[in-house]
Amino acid sequence: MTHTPDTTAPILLEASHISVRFGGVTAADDINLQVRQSEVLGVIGSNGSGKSTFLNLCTGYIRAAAGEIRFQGRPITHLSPREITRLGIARAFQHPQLFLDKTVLQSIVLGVACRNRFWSLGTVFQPGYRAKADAIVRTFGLGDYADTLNSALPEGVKKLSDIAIAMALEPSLLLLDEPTSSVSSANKFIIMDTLMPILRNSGVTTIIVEHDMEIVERYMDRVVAWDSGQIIAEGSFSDIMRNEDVRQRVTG
Amino acid sequence: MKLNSETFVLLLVIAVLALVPLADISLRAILLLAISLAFPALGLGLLLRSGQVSFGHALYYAVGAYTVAVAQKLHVTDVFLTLALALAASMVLGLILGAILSRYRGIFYGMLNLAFSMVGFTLLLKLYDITGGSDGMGILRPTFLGHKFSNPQTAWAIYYLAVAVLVAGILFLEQYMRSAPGSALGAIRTNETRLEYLGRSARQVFLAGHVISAGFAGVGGMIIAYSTSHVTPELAYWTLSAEFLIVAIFGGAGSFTAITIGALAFVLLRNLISSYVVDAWQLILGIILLGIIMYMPDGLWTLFRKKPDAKAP
Repeated sequence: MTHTPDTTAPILLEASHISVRFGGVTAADDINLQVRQSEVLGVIGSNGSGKSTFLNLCTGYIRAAAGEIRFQGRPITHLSPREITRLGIARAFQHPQLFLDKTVLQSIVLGVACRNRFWSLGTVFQPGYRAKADAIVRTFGLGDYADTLNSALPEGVKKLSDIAIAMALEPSLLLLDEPTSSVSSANKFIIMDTLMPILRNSGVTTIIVEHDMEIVERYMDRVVAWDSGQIIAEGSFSDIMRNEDVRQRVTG
Repeated sequence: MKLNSETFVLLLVIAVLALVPLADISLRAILLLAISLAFPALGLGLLLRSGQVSFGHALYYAVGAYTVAVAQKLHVTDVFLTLALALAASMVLGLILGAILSRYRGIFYGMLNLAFSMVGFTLLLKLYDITGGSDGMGILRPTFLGHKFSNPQTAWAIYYLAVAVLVAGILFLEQYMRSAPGSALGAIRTNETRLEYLGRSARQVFLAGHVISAGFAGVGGMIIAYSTSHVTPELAYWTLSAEFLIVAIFGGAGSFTAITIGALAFVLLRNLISSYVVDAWQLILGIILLGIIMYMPDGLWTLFRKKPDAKAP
């Protein structure tokens, strides 16, 4: 499922000299990273290495103390999560953030409405939105759960529902934080095998924070390895596994 | 609109409101009082969808009522014009105060509303020159698009206007809950984070809900002004805010029709009980509320809702 990275594709996201500290912990130390159009980039690192911080920087949840992040050439370092989302960066969460009072389909329809004309008294289940939401439900294989409340979903399906809502925004960049954590080892491949064709078909650029090396090896086009707020290796999975530091400090 | 059980109950409520006063005219005043109570309760019902309660919506109720009085002082006597002014005044105040209130949730939102309403109550009491202080202000018989009717005719016209506006209000709220900003109100209760990461402001969604709820309270105030022909600062007092909340919870957050029934039941019960037993209304109301909270925690709505959509995976 991995594709050879296209090094001529335009740069979608570029972080330059990004630094963040939390108290005495350096979460990002002069980070430089480029993400190219339509690649699926894996971010690996031990707990506290700063890999989730990087996602939070990209979505504006955390502000960098120094440096700049550009998305489609435009600086986003000082924008709020909402403004960044509206530029085309969507995210899913390690702990799915769902509307527990709504069904899977209702949530996705609301997501579609948020992407389009939100401030309208028209019914959110209008044919156009409904068709888009139905298509998303189908491609994510959520048909059996469409009318189930999010609160009643099994853990793995919650993960997919969370990503499906993010995809309702038709983002240019999708950020996923451990999409297979707290899911059984059989289910994690089901999730990824559902997800990858959707990502490939839509051409959405994706950054996936992942600690599961089987998943990283099997699905990521390119991998960056973090340690103590720094990128210590970058390249294909086999490339970075040749790196002594990565073997010792990241994959143990 | 699908003809489900809730639509059927709404049609029944409309029929009762339209026909009962024709059979027994003495009930008209009581029903009009119930309608004026239903409006602020419906506004609070909308806020309940976002999981929020306000202890100060009497402020907007009073603003709606005093708008009628002040407009008449300025020779604006048309009933439709005063309706529009009462709606506009309460919504504008809702927008101004909501700019601050929409930052808060839970007990902070509830109590800040209370605080603003107490300020409003005191202003109505102290600004004698405009509001007449504790004497309040009188309300004259309004005109209808330039026509002046006799006293009994006017009373009928106001009654049926109130019924029509109530039905329009319920239909509006139901449509609002089907729209994106209405659907997102539920997200205030369950997950504001996800809403922000869908690129929409939870605060703006909540502010819109607050402004609409203020508008409903204002329309209720306009109706009470015409129904009692007199407005006093007590209309802004916090015990009235609590009454609105009791009616909203009595009806249940799940259905606007149920809240309307809640308002009717509340006023009819109060009249019935106080005519048979003196000074026992609060006692009996307390017992009824206790029963509802213990056995029907979702209010009267429990009686005619569908089974929840959740199915076991």
